[in-house]
Amino acid sequence: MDDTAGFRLTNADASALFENVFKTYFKSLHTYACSILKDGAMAEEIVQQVFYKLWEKKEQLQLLQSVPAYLYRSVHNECLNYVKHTKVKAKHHAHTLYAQQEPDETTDQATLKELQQKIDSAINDLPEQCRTIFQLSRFEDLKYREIADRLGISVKTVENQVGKALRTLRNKLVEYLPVLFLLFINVKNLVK
Amino acid sequence: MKRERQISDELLVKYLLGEASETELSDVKGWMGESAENKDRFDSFRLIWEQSRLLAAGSTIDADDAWARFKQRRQQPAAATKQIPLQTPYRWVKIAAALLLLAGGGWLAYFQASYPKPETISGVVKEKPIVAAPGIPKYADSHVNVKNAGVKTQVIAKSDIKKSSDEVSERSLHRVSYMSKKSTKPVKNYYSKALYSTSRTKGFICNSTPCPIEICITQSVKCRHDRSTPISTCNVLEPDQSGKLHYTALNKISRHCKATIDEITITMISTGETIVLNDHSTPSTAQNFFNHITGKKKGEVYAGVFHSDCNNETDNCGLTFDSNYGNLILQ
Repeated sequence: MDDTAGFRLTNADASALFENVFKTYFKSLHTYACSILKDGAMAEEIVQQVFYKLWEKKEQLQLLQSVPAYLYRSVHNECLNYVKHTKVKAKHHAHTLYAQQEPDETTDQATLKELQQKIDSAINDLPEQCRTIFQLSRFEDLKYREIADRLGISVKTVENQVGKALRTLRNKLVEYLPVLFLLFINVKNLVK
Repeated sequence: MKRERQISDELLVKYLLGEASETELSDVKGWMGESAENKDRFDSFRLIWEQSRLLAAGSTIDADDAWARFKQRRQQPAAATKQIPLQTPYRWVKIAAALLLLAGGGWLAYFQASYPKPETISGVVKEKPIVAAPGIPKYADSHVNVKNAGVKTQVIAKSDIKKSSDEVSERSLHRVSYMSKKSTKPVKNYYSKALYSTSRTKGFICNSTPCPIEICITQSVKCRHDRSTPISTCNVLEPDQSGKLHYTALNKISRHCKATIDEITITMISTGETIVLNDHSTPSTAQNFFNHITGKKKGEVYAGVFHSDCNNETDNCGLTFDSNYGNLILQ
């Protein structure tokens, strides 16, 4: 027990460090959780939970090889747990929900939606590290170097993983690519 | 064709993301000019990249606001906040069961943690009412024991380095005496060291708490060549309280230390009655329950009543989950 004492931050130091970490990464983690959950409130709840657990261990913050890597991984895992759980729940109500769906969209919008779902689910299927790296690149416009620093990995790994992510997506979406080309302008307009 | 092969997907993506060097830049440009096919390939990446960015739902959250909410959350008491009506007797056992499940949550997290290093795991029960009901635990056999231990009710998940059958079954008997000696002043947990934990939040729902119960999760931690140290983490639930229960499972606390849960003891403060569970508890329901708690069995457990119907070491004791009372849910 005693040999761990030397590693501890003082309480005040740990609190300051923690607050800094929280404010630095909260938004970014929230975006990440949103991308998985499509639910801002739940995403915040999960990120708050992850930080709460980190808070309980804040004296050991400096022992982490990479705090953001830890945070991204935790958020990722918690989100997937949540999704898994809600999927189980959803099974019970699947037919009800199905009946409630209103197919009142235009064909274009429906196709677009389907396409979005394809991309979403393809991204969701990426392995955790690959997905996190892709996320940092895609949403936060971080450079390879910045991603590498943040996650404590090499630039080469980032390069490989982003390449892998896009190759995987391309392979999965290849049959939709013609549709993508067609819809490209529409999507842009819709988003604007 | 030779040049074509030199352009990898990674390089295309680098180019796309503006990460390519000058040389790579001109390589890719040259390659794209070679054929419409090449250009299409690049365009497919570009389209997917742009699509995925367009689809991204950005966060509009304000970090300072979130921090304020976090501070609020942090200040909430660790043990229980909601009021729940007192009702049926025998329900306090549900709390016990809930706590056992909680202990299992941590253990489960331990098993699922992807890091081989020692680590700390914490579990939180929150936002779900936790209630137990009055009643007297009567269940006991060689591994699930009921014992009067004064005025405390405790749930103890005891862990140790090894889980050999003999050791465990012996320990369960030892546990009871340990409880009566130490139940009033559990050692707090100071072992949370490593942060690579796969923490879980478990939802527990059960009914009324008729009397204060103290829940202690005790684990033995062995570091290097030191003797193993028993560590208790305790929570007290007042009558009709429910809410958060915090504990930290000490698995993998550091690369030099190890801890395992091999026993869980439940005591009720008002009567002092104690139940000890381990992985050799013989009624299959008890065993089953314990395994869920320790994470050997996965999935959800729906449990109503934690019956303890005997007070001696015989088989065929009942530890049942009765959906009629149906309020204890491990999620």
